[in-house]
Amino acid sequence: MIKKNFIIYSTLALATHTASAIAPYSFLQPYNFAIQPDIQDKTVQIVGLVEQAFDTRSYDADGKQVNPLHLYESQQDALALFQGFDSESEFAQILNSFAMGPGGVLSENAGLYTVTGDVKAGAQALGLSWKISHGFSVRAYLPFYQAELKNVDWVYSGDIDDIFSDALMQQDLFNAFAQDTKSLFDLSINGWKETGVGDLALMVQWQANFPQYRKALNNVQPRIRFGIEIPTGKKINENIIAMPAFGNDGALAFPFGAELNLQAFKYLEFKVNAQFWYILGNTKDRRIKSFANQTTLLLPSVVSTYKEHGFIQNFNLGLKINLTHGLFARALYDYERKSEDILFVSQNGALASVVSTLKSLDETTHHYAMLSLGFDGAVYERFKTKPQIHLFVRIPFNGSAATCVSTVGAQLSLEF
Amino acid sequence: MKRIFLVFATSFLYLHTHCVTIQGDPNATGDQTFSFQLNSLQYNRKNNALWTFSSDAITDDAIKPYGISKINFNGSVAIPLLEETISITTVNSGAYATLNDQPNPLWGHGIANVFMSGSDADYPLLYLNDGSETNPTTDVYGINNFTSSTPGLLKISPKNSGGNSAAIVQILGAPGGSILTLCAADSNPATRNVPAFISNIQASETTGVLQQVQIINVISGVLGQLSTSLQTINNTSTNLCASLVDGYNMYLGFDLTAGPARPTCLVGIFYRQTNGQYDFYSILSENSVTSVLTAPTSTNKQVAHLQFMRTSTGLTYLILTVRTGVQYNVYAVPIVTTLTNYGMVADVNSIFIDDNNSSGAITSKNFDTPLNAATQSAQIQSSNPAVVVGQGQALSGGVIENMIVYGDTAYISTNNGIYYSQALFNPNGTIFNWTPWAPVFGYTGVGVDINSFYINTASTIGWNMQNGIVQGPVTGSAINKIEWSGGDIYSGFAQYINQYLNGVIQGLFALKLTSSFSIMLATGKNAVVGATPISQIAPDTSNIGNVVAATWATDTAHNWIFVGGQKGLGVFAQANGAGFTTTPTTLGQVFPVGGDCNSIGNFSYIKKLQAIADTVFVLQKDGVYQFTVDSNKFAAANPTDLAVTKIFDVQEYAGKNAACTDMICSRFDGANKHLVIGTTNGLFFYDQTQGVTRIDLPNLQSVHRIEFPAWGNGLTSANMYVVAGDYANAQAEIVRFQLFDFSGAGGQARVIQDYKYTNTLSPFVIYTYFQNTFWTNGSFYLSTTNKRALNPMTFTIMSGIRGYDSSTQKILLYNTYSLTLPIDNPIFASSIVQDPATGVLLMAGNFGLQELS
Repeated sequence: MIKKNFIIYSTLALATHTASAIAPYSFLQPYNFAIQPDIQDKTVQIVGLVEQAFDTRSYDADGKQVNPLHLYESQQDALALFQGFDSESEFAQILNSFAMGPGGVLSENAGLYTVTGDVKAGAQALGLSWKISHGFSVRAYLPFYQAELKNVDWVYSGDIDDIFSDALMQQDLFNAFAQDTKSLFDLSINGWKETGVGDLALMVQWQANFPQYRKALNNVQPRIRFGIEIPTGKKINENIIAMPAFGNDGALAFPFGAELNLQAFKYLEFKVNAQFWYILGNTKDRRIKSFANQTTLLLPSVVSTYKEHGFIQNFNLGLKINLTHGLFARALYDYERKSEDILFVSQNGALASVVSTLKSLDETTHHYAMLSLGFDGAVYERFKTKPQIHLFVRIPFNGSAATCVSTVGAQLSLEF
Repeated sequence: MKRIFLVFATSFLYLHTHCVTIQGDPNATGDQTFSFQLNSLQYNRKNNALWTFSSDAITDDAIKPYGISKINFNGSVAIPLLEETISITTVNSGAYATLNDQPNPLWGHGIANVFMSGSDADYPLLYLNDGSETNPTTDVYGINNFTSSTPGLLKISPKNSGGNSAAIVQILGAPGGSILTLCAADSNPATRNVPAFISNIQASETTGVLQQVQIINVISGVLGQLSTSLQTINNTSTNLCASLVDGYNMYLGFDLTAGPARPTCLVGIFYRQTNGQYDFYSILSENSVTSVLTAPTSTNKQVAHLQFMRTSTGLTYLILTVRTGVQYNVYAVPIVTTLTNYGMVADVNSIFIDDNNSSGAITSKNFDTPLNAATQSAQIQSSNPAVVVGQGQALSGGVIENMIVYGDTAYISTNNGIYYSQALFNPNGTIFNWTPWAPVFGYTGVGVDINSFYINTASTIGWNMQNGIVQGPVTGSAINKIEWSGGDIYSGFAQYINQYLNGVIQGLFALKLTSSFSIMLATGKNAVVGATPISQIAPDTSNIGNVVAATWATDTAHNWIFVGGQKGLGVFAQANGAGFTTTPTTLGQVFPVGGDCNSIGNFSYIKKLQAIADTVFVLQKDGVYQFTVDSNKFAAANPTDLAVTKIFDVQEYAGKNAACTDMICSRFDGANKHLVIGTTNGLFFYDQTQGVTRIDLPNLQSVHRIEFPAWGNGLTSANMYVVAGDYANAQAEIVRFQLFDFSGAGGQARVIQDYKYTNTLSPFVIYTYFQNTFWTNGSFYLSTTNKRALNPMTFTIMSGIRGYDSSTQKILLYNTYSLTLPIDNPIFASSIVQDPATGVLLMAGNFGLQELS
């Protein structure tokens, strides 16, 4: 039996969530405070979220806006793909045959490709909240993602015929580069399209309302939550380039956070929140650097690695204006930072000093601006399901080592 | 359609054209730096600057400040250092006193002798050139804080044991040490015996005070120990011609005439015993032998210069210039460097290897047994090629002004330029021969009288000093700087390279076509540029594409130039297949009008060409091919078959994945054909009669480059440097070999024992990264890593290395320096080549040419 005489100032919610702690391409986590609807006076709330990218902005480590495939390097080193193998190996001897001896000079751009591509992505999520008592609720969220890397174009940066070794290298190594990467390293350097679920999030949340009978401050609403993300999401496919995980890449994560909403002058709400994710390290086959010059999209070796994931911090600052008839508008600033990951490799004699230079392990950040319009059906008694509708647009305006989607989205929640 | 560009430059300069002449005093004009002549050129390590010292008295007050001048390392202007007044500090009975604002005794005076003392070589000791036979100079000056705001002079007048002042003969010192030794004679001609005494002066680096701490009395019988039949030693300062200080010990080289009874050794040593007293003895245990170290009976000889050579193999030789009449020779003798019999000429077979430590690593190598001159005199006779530096080759003019040793190489400055000779080593590290004297740094040619020079072994930058530079009535001097630049030793060469190779050189070759005529050939895309000092040519080679290989071969009736590269092999030949004269003297004869680059054979991606007499060897990835030259094979119409045979199949010897990387001919006279072939999986020796054998490498098995840094005309043995490399793993190391080439009996490559642990094969040098180019003349080890391998491109110099140390990479910390070329964003260097005509070192790459001159 659903208990209805709950404390009116507090709600209890449990949410399930379908995104990774770091959702791919910086999509919103469905349980993000920024869009989380309140449970009003019912017990169960169903949430549906749709977010569609209409643009992507990628930022390199210096914050410069680049193509999504220039995130870590502006050029990919196809030569280095063959480096780092034993001197007696076939690959080493092929390289040494043209890079050594007389005429063994290589031009500045020999073996370098400038690769570009476009990212197309979308996200949906379903959420279920169950208000328990004393402001507590349990929530579950499950996200779904579609991601596509398209229009991938590898443009050779070197002069094929101006230098002896460049020409010989082209003949011996790069005339069928895409086929060779597939056959020799099981790595497809073309575009791809992936769909799948993200990580299932289970959370316990407490929130309460503390009315303030002052002229300026009308209500204080704190929210606190913690939970777990179960790695149901699609993992990174190591045999294609630049695919993000649809979750935490097989790792268990523990999200937690808090928010403070301050209602003032009846029409304004100030929102500040902080969310954090601690991701447990996990072991998985991953592509690693085996030679210092290797670039992120062209790594030859897939080996079992233990990854110590970086800690994630997300901060939002928002202002909501309650208009009329349940309509509201909101502006929000979103900042997220993921600390550097650490890889441990215990096989193939991989050098830790080389492995650790993989740029995709580096810290990432993003800055978003979000504008939204919403309708809160709770003001209408006749709406039994208390529908809440939230239309939003999110635009990234800065970041580092991250591809961020510009999105439009909608969220609908109904209570029962 | 083939094109040929043929333009001859009008410049007939033979000497270097880049030369930066340092700007000096205002009265100097033309090529002069100073309007007076110099005593010496000294490097002040602490200030990283060069100091010059006048030998002439200077009368013009405006010029007197330049009597001692400083040239900053990267500067091109001489900065005057002398002032008219100065503080002078003297010592009297252990107490010292300083008087300020005294007339500067150096002001306007010429300087007779300078030694840069102090641990940083920043403390010059000198005496003036004012003395005469009857009134010799008796004062020694030290210059303290000369470049500071409070410069001062330190003055001492050495006394003999009787308290008499001394005529200063020479100042000696141990480089880097604070103990100084002064050689002096009694100032009174009436009582002046043969060098009267040696004053041991100690300089305090804290107080700067000079003090005489010891008098070494050499009057009584010391010279008698040198030779009982010593006939005469002139009682003037010329009796002591050369000296060399080794720690506390001092070698003296004499001007002497041996008596009628037996030959006399030219060199003695003052050896400091543990009690501080000195022994003096001849460095040869038995004088009565004929040797390069002795003056034959009743014959005068002079030791003009003494230097040590601490070889890269860890052994010590004494290098000396000996003058007999007008004939100069430079000799090398091994020296005992263990405590007993220290400084004596050594038995070359007495190598003591010290590896008696916990790690078992070699810590030193020494000769430890004196030569038995009675039974082993052959070791030090001029018939032994190991003794005769420069192979005894006569130099035109022949006056050796100065002799300096850097690394394994002896340099001489002469009245015809600067020359060098490099030591060649046996597997055990002893010297077995020397390369012939060869020009270096571009300062060659009749009348280029170089009095002195200094080369900084951490940078290759150097300076030379020339006196006798006449401008009108003024006889002055010049200081010329030797440095890397985009200068153009072959006037117009660089311009042609820019024009026809788009400034990108993929190969650079010095082709010595006769003993007196050589050409430089720069290769690149679709063209090559040939040059002599006075002319250039740029034949079209678009049928070969990117050209990286060149050589020449002869059938005794004609010579041909061959080039190889991306699209195969080309030969420059007339329509009837004829090449050029076998005695060319001009570039026009080598590339005559009508001679095109004709494609021959069925080759592609040729990496290297070599030739022995009439046989051309072609290195492709898959192996080595050979053919013999014949006009009929190169005719434009109906050529006969090239008759190519494959003499080395890389897969057969090095495995299915292997490829050939480099090769070099080890015999040039055609009597037998030897090749050393490098592959991505091993080093091989090819002998025409004995087939292919593998040469063991200590570590890396992939061969990057094979270089002969040292081989000479007529030599049947040489030293070979193999750069074992692995681009794929960014590694490189150098392994040295002695190549034997026994005519008719096959050849052999023996590794030079640069072992870290006794009898454990190890490389000579291990680099921290792949090196694209490598060059050495025994003094410097130059290498580059191209930008594609390591951004930015690096240019590295090593110097002062010893094999058993460098294989542990100690060298990389203490003896490796980075050089900077004066160009923006260099991408690759393809070759480092020394021009045989001028001795200028040339580096080729995407930046065109850089030259060290």
